[in-house]
Amino acid sequence: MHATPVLRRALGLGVLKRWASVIALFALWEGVCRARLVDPFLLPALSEVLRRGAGELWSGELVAFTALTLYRTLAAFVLAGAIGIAIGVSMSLSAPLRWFGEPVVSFAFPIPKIALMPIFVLWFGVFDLSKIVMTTVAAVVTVISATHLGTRHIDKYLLWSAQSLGTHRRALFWKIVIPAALPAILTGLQIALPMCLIVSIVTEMITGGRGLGGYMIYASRFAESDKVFLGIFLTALIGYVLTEGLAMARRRLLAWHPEETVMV
Amino acid sequence: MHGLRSLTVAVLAVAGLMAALPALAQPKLRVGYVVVPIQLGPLIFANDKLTVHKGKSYTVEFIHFRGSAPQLTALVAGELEIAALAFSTFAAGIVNARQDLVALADIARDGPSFSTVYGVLADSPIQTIPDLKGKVLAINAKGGAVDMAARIVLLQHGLKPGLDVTFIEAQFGAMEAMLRQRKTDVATFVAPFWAAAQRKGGIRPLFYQRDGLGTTQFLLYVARREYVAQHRQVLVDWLEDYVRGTRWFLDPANREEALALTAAFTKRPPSAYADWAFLPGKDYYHDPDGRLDLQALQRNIDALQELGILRRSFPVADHTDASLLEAALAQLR
Repeated sequence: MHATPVLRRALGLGVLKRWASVIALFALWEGVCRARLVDPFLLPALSEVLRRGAGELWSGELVAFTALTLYRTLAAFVLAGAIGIAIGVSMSLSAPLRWFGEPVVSFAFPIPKIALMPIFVLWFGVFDLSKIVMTTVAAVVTVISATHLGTRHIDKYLLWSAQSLGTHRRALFWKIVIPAALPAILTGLQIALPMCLIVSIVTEMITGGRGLGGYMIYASRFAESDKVFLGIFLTALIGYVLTEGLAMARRRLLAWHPEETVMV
Repeated sequence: MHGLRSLTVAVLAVAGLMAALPALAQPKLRVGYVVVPIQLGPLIFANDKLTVHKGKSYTVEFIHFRGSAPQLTALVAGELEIAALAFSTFAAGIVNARQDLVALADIARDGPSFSTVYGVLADSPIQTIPDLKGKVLAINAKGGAVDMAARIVLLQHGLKPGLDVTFIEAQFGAMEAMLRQRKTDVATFVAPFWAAAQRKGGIRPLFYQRDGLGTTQFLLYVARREYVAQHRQVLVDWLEDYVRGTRWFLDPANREEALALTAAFTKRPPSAYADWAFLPGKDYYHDPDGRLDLQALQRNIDALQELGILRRSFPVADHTDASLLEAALAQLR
């Protein structure tokens, strides 16, 4: 006999099913550590990490560090989004810009951009600016590429239909091109957001200072592996919340789109 | 004919196996290192004429690391037998990682010879320590010796580190450029980078690491106590070779050859080392007997606790084993 949907919802079975793999992984982690199969310095128990987390949150320092990383991540994401969409759309609209931009983007895409960090430190100093610029540079190419592809490959029947109805060029852009390219643009942004979080943390690890990256490096330097794992745990949590938030925004923005109306 | 060929092959295989057996029987020492020639070990053991026991009672492999913290992880994971740890990592390994570590020998000390320089531009308005109020000071790593010494010096002059003076982190290699481009007001220079900066000029010392910490036993060879108990004689032989090699490198008569060996190992021109390496006052101090300065080490670890960097201090005598080095020195005599 199967539980009815109402009963399943009441028991939270849906949520449990969704998170079962993560819960199993956490249980395995705790079990391995409790059985002393690995040195606690190399892998501290999850309960130890969470206990340390409670203490650190109480001190307030970790909250400040997390807020700083979030600020750098979101500032870079907003910049990468604005610059990337503007450049991507411009490249689609202008042939000379496309001629100039396409090879540059192709060339820049595979570069491990974090290698530029020492140069950015010399140009922009070691404080927030160099970290935000580095993160923006790392993420912007993805947004440019996604926006350019999205705005270049629009269903031609959509454009012809609008043109045959006498739609003006500017209206064509805002009412047809941008909405039609929105799924691709949002996909670019969804890739860029976790990228911003990762690069922000790496910049903090390289240049030190505060933030979750600096917190983890400092903890690692002083053999406090429970704090390192706490940093990783927090990063995963923040990454999940951010990507879920953006996915929710996507569902709202594309409520009219077939991808949201057709369930496969 | 066919039988004779098979017999020859079998004899050769057995002979090869016999030849390889001693090497297989020797314990392999995997030793971490960060920078040459501040750390002499990789140079010593790359040179067969300086070692007597290598290849007989042990084999050795030096593995490069970017710092001492990853070496602690490798030591605990059993990927290293001997680690070259900073005193702060040694202390953190015992207090935070709860590892039973034993200090074996000296690698380098700051203070008795060269001491890390906190330099400012020659035309900087900063003339004394109190002038640092509101300025930026670059260190290599928060919580390390360079950071600690700067904090102590500032506190001695009534300045609050972090509040009155902003600390930033930068790699030693980038310090000079950052100072010259005025991205920081004070940069810190270890021996090779200070020599390079002096060649170009325009930078003067403001204070030294020894002003804050006195002598720093800043690098030391460390092993796990369990490994030490199981491989005593191997470590004694290794230390004997290490001390013999250290004395050879410190002998002024061997300086030209020592510079050539360093240049060959690092694939850099000898001129990169000529004006500082193995020179008293220009290079870090290496004890010719490999002995640790236990008083300095205790003071350094106590300072970590006093500055709030380490939860608690501990008696360093509980985590050193001088008997190995003494046995090595006796063998050497």
